[in-house]
Amino acid sequence: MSNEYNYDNDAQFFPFFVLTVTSLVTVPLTYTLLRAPSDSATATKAPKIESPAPPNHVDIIDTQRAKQKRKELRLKRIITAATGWIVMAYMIYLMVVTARHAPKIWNPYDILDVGMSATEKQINSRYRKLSVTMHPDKRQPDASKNLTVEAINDEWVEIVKAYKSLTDEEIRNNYIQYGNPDGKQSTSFGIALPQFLVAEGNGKYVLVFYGILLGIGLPWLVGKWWYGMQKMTRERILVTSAGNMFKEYKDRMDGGDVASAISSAMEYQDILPGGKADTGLGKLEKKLQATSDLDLAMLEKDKKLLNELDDATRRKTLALIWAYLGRIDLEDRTLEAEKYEVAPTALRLTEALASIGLAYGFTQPVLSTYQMAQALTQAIPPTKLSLPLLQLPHFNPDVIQKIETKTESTSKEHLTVQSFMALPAEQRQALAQAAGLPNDRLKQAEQVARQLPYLRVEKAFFKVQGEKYIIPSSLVQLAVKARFIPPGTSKIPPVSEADLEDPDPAEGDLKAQNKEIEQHHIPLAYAPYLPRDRAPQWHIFLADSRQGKIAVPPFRFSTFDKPAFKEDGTPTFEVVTMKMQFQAPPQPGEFKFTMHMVCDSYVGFDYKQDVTLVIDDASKAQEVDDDDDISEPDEDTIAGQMAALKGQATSDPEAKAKRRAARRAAHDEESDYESGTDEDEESESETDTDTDSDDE
Amino acid sequence: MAAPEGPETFTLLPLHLDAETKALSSPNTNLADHLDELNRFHRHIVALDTPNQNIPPPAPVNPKRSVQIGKLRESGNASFKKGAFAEAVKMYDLAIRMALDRPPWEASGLVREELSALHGNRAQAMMGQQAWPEGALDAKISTEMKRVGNVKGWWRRGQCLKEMGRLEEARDWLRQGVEFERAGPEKANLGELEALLRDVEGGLAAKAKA
Repeated sequence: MSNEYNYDNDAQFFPFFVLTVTSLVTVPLTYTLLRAPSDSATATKAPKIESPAPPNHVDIIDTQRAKQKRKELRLKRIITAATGWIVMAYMIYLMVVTARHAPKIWNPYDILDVGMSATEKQINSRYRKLSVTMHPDKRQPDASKNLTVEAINDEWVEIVKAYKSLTDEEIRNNYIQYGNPDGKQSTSFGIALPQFLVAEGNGKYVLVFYGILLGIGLPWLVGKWWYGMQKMTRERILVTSAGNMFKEYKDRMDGGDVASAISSAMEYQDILPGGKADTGLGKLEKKLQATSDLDLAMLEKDKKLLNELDDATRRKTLALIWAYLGRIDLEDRTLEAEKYEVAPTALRLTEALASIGLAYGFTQPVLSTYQMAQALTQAIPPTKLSLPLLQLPHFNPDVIQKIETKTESTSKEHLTVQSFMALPAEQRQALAQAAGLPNDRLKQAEQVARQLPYLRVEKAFFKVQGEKYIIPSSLVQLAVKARFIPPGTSKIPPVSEADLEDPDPAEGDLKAQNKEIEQHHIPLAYAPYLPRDRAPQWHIFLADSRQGKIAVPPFRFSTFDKPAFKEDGTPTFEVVTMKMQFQAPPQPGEFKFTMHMVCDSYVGFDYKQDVTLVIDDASKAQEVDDDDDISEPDEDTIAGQMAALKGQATSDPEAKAKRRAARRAAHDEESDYESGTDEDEESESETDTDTDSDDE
Repeated sequence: MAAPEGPETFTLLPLHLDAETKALSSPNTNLADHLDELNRFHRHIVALDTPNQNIPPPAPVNPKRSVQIGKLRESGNASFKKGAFAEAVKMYDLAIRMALDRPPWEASGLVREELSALHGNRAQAMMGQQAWPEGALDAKISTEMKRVGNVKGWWRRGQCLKEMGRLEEARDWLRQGVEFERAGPEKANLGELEALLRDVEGGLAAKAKA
């Protein structure tokens, strides 16, 4: 009786082992791959705005775009996962194909060929019958039937064993206990490892393999993961970059400061490694200095900032960013390629800078970073001098200036796409003609403009779900009702009042409460210069304009509950609802905020309006609950006796009636008073908030 | 300036010390601002009349400068009343320069206070000359320095913007002003601001109709 370990000689169980191990790696990897980051997911789902007129150097932009895509694809992971799946499939194939020889279970009934329910008598008679035919004395070996003496003997022994195990007490016990009439048999364990692993002489290789795997591979993997985690911040930028930008942060930052801050990141070292940082820097700077202010809205102070930089990489980065923003032709293919390669990285860094700004809470730097994101998306300078009309194809600073001088605009702000498109068609044509823009080109530009998702706020109000009043410290929702109205849309249907309401689902209606909000994507940003797909996002936040600080940090919206455009690209004019939830201030009163809505992909689509949050006193909401009074204990109960002993009121019928009357009177007075204030309020404003919009 | 080298590295900057005035200068234009500041500080210390030229404590402000600034402002106001706006602007200019030149150890809050008033006055003088852009800018500086309790500052910029025909900006500006002053110490004068706001809004409405 010995235990014996068998290695898997004929590769019977080894596929199971490999399948398990491979699936441990492959399945989670595949999951992460399929659950791709939201950005690229929307990129595949959201429609695109086609550009009728490609910008110069479109081939360079396209190569950069392909490069960015490859970066995002994570090719290594895909290959690993694919290999994993192939291995797993092969293992399953092996498992199906390999014949398994499972050891037969010794069954005395089968050998004797009797039923399981046979009685001892039947077994006896069967045995006797078999002994007549099967006993070795009765049979002759037959070479033709491959019947030898041994085979005959064996068969007979089996029959005797089977008979004994069914009749003899001791042998029967053996059979029941060990499954074999001879008593306990040796056990054998199969190990699902192929034989060659333990074969003579292979031992050292296996040892070396394990040594490498556990001694070097595992620490390396863990180390890489750990240091990788430490090197990155939550926004997936390097910690050193975040540190640098933190130093660059100021309480007041304009576009130039933001450009300078994001140029301090370490990410550009990958784009401009070593010697690349110096090549062409002189040419680039000369180009920047030579460009007129009209094309490049780079302020004197920004030029000075650039000149003060010592670090070559940073200097070149900043120069490249400005060249990109100014759409300057650098007349050098490598420089051009670098210019376009810098932009997506810079865009990513603006997000990180925005979160640094949010930590400080000042409105202005955060707005500047959002404007920088818009500028980088559209390749338009982020300063006040920037021209939103540059977003349209065929429009260049020269044309725009001519148009702007023609329109008698008193404001110092530049013409936005929507205000240009709001002009009558004939006037637009005349303006373009005068500025030297042919009619067909203007048509193309207008075509693009009509597809831009300009979000127009129709109403913004505060509410608490399921409550009538907003009381201190409650969870308030700011509901913003808005419509996507592309610039230049004629015949805008009026908003129906019902769409501007925000009804709460009934209290018991769980189905309505748990209903998932639909998600509809907005077309990808029309950004012909940006070598990357970008899904536009809207940021809404509340600011306190008196202190210049952000009161409620931004909420981001990239998908909306109603589709913005139909299949054929025409606007649906559906009212979309955006909700942001935050805690109300702890004391009652009137709070005035400025609501900012910033789209991070288009210039000139920013919107702000004043909103007032009215917090009512908590007693107003409680008044409803006041009616149910707790009954006082009756006189003849134990509780009543206890109360009487303590000198408290028991329910003496008369006293009770008196008290009730008194309370009712008091309550009437109170409710009279309340209704008076209600009327006052109603005369003042219909809803809890009154909003006045800045929209023209 | 962010130096690429570590803190251990010593970089020799080309500095030149003028033997007579003891002023530092450098051909490196990037250093100009820093050197200016240093030279000014030096001049302040040289000009000190305290014993041993020790830097005085910040609390009792040297009364001389305040008196001078006050005088300049008074004469500016007098010229303004006479209608000599150019003269008044000149006086205010001098006063502003003097206020800006206060030594760095004196309280900066004082500078803000003075500058707010001076820029406000200069804005008024500019408006007298019908120099609206200059007035608008001065009034803006005045309100930047002192946001609450400065109804005049808000009103002046609003008026300038209105005169320039930048009505949208004027409206936004006045609204902001009303917002700030609503709870301020000059609540009583809020009416002027609101009247101007109504005026501007009326102008806008008329323009929209046309």
